[in-house]
Amino acid sequence: MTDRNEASDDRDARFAERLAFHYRPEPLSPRARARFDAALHARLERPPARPAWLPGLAGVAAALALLWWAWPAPAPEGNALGSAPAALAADARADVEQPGETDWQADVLLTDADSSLDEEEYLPDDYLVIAYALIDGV
Amino acid sequence: MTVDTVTLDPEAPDAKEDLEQSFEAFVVSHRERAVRLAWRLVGGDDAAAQDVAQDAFVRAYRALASFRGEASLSTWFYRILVRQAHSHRRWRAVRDLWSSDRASDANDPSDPRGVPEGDPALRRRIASALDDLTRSQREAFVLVHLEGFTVRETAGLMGRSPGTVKSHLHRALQHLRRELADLGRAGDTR
Repeated sequence: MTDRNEASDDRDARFAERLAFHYRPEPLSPRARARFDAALHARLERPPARPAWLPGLAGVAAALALLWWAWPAPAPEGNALGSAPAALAADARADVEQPGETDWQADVLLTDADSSLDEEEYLPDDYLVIAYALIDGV
Repeated sequence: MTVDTVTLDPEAPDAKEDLEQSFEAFVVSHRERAVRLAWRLVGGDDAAAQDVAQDAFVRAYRALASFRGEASLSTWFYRILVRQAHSHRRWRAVRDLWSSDRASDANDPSDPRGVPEGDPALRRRIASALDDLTRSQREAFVLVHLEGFTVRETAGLMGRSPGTVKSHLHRALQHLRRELADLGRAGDTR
């Protein structure tokens, strides 16, 4: 280490010493010490703050999870409020799915089997319009 | 058993009593230094310093079971305290954002909690100059130059390498010498 560095270190050390001297709190008086100890003791006796809200948070999380899991349960029929997102999703799926061959056969069988079924009731509206125009009109 | 080499064996009979006695002795021997270090780190606020010191003692006590003895108990405790002081400073900064009321600032000489003897104006200037430092520079300077920890101990407390601590010290000194030039000159002519 050079002389210049040593001198600089000395100056820095003296400067820091003066700072330490001017920048310090009053030593704790016996009364302040007793107050400090009493406050510390009281804090140590107190149960930790974290578990107070942690179980609450865990409870809320569990309730939310349960709610989420229970939500798709089928709602009672005719209850509009009971239509859940999962039920809507099922409806949407049904809309998207194309009627299969079995559905068509079932329709034919149903028509044949149940002669009491009114044809007009059975046909969709657009078919009815065509029927009135082309068949009844003839 | 010295308080700095406290060992915990939960199976040992009277372990809890031993622990409490050791901890009490530890508090008594480190209380003064803990409050002083906290005071210097939080910017000269008596009430905040005591609060931070107590908080550090409580956290240390509750975490004693996880203390593995890799460092001395005091090093471990002061690491907690330095972190608590930083946490306090952060919360205070947030509070100050919401309120311009700085009644909790002990730098106010009219603060009723007691202002230490000496030159309050100089103390305010030092606090302000320290406040301008980065967190690492301030902690390194306070720990080494004001509290007398070695660079190696400080590196352990800050979780940095000794070289990094030296670099922070150098920058902190440069800044403080510039900000408090008159204090440096007064000393050199003394």
